[in-house]
Amino acid sequence: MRPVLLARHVRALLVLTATTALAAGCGESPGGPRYAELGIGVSAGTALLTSACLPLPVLPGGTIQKDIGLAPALSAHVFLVRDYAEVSLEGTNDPYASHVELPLQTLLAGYVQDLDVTAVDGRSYVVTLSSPCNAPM
Amino acid sequence: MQRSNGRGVVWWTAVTLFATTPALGAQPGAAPPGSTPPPSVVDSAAPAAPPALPPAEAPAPASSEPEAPPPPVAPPEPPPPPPVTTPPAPAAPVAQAPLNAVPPAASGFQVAFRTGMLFPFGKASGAPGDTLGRRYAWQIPIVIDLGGRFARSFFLGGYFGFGVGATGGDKRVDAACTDNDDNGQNDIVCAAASFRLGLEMQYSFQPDQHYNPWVGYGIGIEGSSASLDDKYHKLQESVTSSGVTYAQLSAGLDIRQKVGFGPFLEVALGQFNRTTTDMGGRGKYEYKIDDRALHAWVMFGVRVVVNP
Repeated sequence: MRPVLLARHVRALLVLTATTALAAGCGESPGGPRYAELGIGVSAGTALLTSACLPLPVLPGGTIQKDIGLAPALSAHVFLVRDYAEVSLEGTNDPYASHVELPLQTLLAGYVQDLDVTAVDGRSYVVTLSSPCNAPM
Repeated sequence: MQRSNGRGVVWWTAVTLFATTPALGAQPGAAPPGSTPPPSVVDSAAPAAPPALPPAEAPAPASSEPEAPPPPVAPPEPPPPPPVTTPPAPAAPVAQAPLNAVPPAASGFQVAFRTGMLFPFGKASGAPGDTLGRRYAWQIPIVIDLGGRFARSFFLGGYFGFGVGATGGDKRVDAACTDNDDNGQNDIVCAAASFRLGLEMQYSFQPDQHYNPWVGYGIGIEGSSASLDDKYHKLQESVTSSGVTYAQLSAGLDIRQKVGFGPFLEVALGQFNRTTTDMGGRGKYEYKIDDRALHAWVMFGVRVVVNP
């Protein structure tokens, strides 16, 4: 009987220790924010002309505003805040591509979109928006 | 006796000569040690027999008959010192008086230090949900007021203050700033700070009383910053917004002694017009806020005033 009792006590002690450790919050996360990114690139045919990668801020009030020259007659105005990203293409008459708004959850889930754009000078480009920046296109 | 008289005459002559000769007797300290009352010798610019005689008898006992003459001469000397020591006595009560007295109304240079608690209210910008309290938690401030008092009741000067605290009540930031991997290291540091700088004027209602209520108005610039440093992923971010403090309204009560102190309350109304977002090594971006909104920093605590 004694060895059985002892084993039972040891088992109870182990269970209690494990439970206490879990209740104390023994997590595995070192903390830190999960940043969303917006990648923007432009290609003509098979050649990648230019690309940029911008992170969305996490802190409230953080705002990133940048103009990116994509091609001689094509540029992008990017506006990023913690909750969404906006991309406005300038130098194109394609209405569907002139303004794109992407919510944070969409970017965090992974996103790739190709926009066929004809610039005002008549040249054709493919503008790729992606998240994360190195997402397969 | 004759011997002594003869010596007395010699001494009288010597002393008279000594006193009347400017080169020798002009200085009181130059009198011979035996001549006890130097003032009488000095006062007698002309050779006066009566004053000079007593000193002439003094040296006599020292020479031949020490026992008889000295006792009568020595006693008169001690009395003069007491009147000399009496004057310092009345000075004591004069020095004690200012310790507990209320100082007169201050003028000239004045400096004050304020601290307490600083709370954010209102909106940081016109964007939905962008409240000041979401960005910044309450802070511990230190403010210095530096300037001059004039016309009894007025203070004109500048103020400089800064505060430190935690990031605000945003749940996403709270979650990001929680390190629970139990590795004993602080993997992420989140903090907030603010500063204010400007000119101010204060008016004292009772500048020469023990209790002096006062009010103030200031105008200047301000800035607030929140930051996070993710050491585990090696990512940093800070967002600093700056703008104008249109009205720093303050009121308080100084308990005036040599140094004044007392409680105060302050409301600083302002507006951000610019934001700098620093993403560490991933870029630094300036942004002019178009959709502005009014906010307030409310501070209360204690201030200490030098030259109140």
